[in-house]
Amino acid sequence: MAKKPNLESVLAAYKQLVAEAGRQPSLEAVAEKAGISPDQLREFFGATHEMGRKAWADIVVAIQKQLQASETYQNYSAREKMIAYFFALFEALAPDRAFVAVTHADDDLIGEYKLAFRSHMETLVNEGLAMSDLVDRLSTSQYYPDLLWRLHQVLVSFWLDDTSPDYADTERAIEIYSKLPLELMGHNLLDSFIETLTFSFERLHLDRFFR
Amino acid sequence: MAQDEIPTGKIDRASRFLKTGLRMGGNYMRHVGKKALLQPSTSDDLDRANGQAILEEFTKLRGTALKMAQMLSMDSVNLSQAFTNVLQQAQSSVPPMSAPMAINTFKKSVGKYPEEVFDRFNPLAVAAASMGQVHEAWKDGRRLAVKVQYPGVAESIQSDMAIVKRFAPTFVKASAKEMEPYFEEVESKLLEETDYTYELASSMAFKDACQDLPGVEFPDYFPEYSGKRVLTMSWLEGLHLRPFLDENPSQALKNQVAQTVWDLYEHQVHVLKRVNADPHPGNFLFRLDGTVGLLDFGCTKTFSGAVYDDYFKLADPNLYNDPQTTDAALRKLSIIREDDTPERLAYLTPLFARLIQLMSKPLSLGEFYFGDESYYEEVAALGKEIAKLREVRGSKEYLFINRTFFGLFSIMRALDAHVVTKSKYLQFDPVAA
Repeated sequence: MAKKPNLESVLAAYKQLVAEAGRQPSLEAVAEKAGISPDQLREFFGATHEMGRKAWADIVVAIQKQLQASETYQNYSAREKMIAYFFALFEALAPDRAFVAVTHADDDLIGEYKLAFRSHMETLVNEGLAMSDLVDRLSTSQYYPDLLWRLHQVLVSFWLDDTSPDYADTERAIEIYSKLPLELMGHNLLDSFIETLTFSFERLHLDRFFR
Repeated sequence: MAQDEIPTGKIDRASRFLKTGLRMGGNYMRHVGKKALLQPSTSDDLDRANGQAILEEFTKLRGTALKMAQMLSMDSVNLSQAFTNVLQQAQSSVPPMSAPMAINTFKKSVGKYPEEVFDRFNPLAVAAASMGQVHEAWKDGRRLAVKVQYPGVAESIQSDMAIVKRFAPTFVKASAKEMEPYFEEVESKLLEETDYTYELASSMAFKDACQDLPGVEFPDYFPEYSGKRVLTMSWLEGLHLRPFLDENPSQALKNQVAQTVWDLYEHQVHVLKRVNADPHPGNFLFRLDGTVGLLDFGCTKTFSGAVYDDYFKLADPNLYNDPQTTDAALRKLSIIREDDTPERLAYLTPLFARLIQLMSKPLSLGEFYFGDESYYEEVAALGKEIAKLREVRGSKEYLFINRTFFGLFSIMRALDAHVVTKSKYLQFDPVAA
């Protein structure tokens, strides 16, 4: 007996099949698992890949919604907001660990998620630049979202290998691995170095040669 | 942004200890160099530099090592005062974890976000705790202290201990065997301390048991906002030992707070037979009105009635010259053993009897001035002689009582206090000073 089709149950069925089989299931298998007919399923998705894309893309939306609802989050600096994303990420991914393990390296499935992640981080980078929390050195700020995506992939891989209770090691990894990229983006030693150089250069009074 | 690293790998930790070792070596070289150049360089200088080096590395390791630093800092008989001062900063100079991490930990432990349960929550830590940090929160007009534990602390303790065991004896110039009882003690207490639900229950029980003592205040605890890695209590006002002393309190005030702390320990030792596991100064908040706030009194240790009796039997100066009683008590405390030769006994018996006598001298006098440096010199000289044995003597419980007194005395000494030490519970006549 076919049930009323429902997006959540379709995605849940899909994720479970991927997690179990370790590869993309057939559309029919998903329909059967979700308890609906293939025709009903096609009203939502034309192919199983679409389900994967949707499942991943939904993660950013859910995290954003959760973070925005928090008053504490609103008062964070840009860099704290970036870290907060990762903490929320692993909370969101925890129930679907096996699904993530199969799909996290599939560029096709995570493409849309990656774009949304980058745009989320881009917003934070701009916010950070405006608040002088981050520094745009020689226009390098355009690469910051890439840097954060690298961090994202490192952390996801770490989490998938993490066997510590409650994923405590992943939490520590978030703090430790994010330190370097976040410090690169903020005021750091480099700025002091440039400042010192600039000052020393000025003190040479090179302008006198051009008078 | 205030963020920081918690080294995780064994190699990383080991390298930190090595680095400390090298730094200490360097400090020693400098000391020797200064001497060679005939410039004034005191042994105190060296100890301070070493203490600083240890502290810096220890605070980065947090958890286990920091606890070790604290426990070593308490034992002022083995370590000089300069060393002790620097190490005592340990509990208040740890860098914080990031706000998102602290909040995430709270959510995982309590089940809700801090902003959902409190009227206000400060995401920036206001103080460091040995295994985490303290945040301020407000609920119904009350200021609260929320202790949040670093993730993974419990899991890393065993790996930490393996390294501490390897390197710590070198730092304190003791044999590994000599330090073994300390290690066991530290390890078991550490594992206990990582579970805040346990700490919550025992803190509440301890508070109940001490509630009627005058001049002391324990925080109120909030089980509904606490969990495995979060402990919420009411905020206690007051100053830690050093800042308190910086306020130049009058001698009368110092005597008053010292008396309060002394009476609290008297109650613990003689009535409860259960004492706070590490009476380090960070657990006390001194107020200018003479009262004392008590933090972290959850981690307590009970000792058996037999150990209590034997220890305080030896404390009685009137029994000191009774060799039979002395011998029997020292045997029961495992200080002297079956296989000790008569010559060995002739040396050890008076040595340890003197130590216990000395440690309990303030008690037997009825009134004691803890600023008396000659007393500590006497203790240190005896400690040195005992250290020469290069072996552990005495049961874990005996060492524990001794350590409690060391800790207590070091606080009394810092307060430069006159204290009425006459015990209501010990039945011996005070001897003439």
